[in-house]
Amino acid sequence: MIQALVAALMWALVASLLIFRRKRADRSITYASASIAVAMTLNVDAIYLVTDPLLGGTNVTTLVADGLLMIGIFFLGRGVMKADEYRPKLVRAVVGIPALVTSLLAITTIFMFIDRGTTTTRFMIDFGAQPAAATYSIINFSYFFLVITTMMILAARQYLRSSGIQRLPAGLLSLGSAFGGALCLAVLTMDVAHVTGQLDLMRAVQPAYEPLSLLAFLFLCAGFAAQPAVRRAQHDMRRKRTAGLATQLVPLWKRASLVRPGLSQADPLAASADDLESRLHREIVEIRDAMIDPRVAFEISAAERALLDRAESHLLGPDTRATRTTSSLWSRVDEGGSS
Amino acid sequence: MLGREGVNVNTEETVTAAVSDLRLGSRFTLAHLLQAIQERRHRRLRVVELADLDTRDGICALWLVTDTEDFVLHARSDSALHRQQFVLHELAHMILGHTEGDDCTAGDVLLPNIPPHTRGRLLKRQDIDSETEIAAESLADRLAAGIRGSVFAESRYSEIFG
Repeated sequence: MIQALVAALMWALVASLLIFRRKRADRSITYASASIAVAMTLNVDAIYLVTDPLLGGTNVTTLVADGLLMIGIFFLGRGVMKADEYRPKLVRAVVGIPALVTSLLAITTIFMFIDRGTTTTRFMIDFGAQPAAATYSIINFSYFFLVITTMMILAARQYLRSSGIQRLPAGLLSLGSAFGGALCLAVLTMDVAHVTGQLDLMRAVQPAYEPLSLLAFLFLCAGFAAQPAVRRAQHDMRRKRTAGLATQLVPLWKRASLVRPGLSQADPLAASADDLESRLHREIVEIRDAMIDPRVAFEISAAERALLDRAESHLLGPDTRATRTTSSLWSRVDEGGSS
Repeated sequence: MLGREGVNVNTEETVTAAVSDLRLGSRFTLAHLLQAIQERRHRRLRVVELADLDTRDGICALWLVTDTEDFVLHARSDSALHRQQFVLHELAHMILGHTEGDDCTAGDVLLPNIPPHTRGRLLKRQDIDSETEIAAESLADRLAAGIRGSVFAESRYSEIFG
């Protein structure tokens, strides 16, 4: 039941990414999600029981699903490495092609040494006492653990950097990665306990597996789906606000253009409506030009000035580092002195 | 003879080519732009806010070319966006090479603190009433869009996950 739910969540995420990220250049997360979705689908009991006999009935489906999961985690790791300055050497190595190929070869080779019996949906419960099976699982989950904990640190850093609604996806990803890391630790503990005969420890940890698995996938899927949705919503909001401000400024701009014709009179393309931000910029510049030109009479009300200030703040944004320079290239000369 | 539409198209082409020649991409900061212009002109560039710049004729910025340096002198303004436009307009003249062949005709009243022997050529942002002024103001708008792009640029995190 949990596996079916996880698979459904993953396919919902894939669909959401295909819609919201269809024009994005980087596809790491989409590839990761699709690969993991297939892996999780193969782990659904009903599907496993149909596919495994087709592959010989010796649980090769487990290897195929785990290989796909590793490839998915590899793409996730590649995305994580591109997304921030935080790039631990070990994780950089793990998400390299050589490490992926080596890991896939290693789990395939070790898998061949497991006495796998016939098709079973309880692969590690049935065969986890074998050192080969334990090693197989430990390689898989160590790989996942490294990538998922790096993801957790990245998401937590992003949460701290963000504000408002942007914190939501980063927070969801942080929680999902934390549950994912805990899931990996639980599995690694069970693997070691099983192979060393500490069955009490294994049984003590076992109840955490399904809830952790569900929570990890639930929060990770929600976070990965929310991130592009929030970006798009903010983009649309900014666009609407730009259009609104540009429209509200039109009467003031027309008055300014009458007394002091600017570029929009000489070159109508300069204030074309195609690029709303450029149009708003031009409106502000021409209104400001009229305001400071002592040759013309141009007065604006307090309300108009407030609107102009709001429009200007909207264009300049909260971070004005790009628009100012504190370098030695810029200075100020007041009456009789300089600074 | 070109009609208004012809002038618009020419201006658009000139501005697009000038932005492309800068090789700064579509997003850049003002500091990067200043640096690129200095490197391109092989001379120091200084931007100076002049509190006593005479604005009676509607002048809000000047580009002063001396033997060794470029100066952009601009009036004081409460508006950061407007102040930036003053500077970008003068930088646009530099990028478009509008100084070639022009003489400095500024009177002392414009530049009370600049010794006459340091003056070479001069352009000023006043009225947008000639092809060079239209081109410079259009390019200034385009440069402002590039700077705005860098302010609102997505983080790498957003590019990957957003």
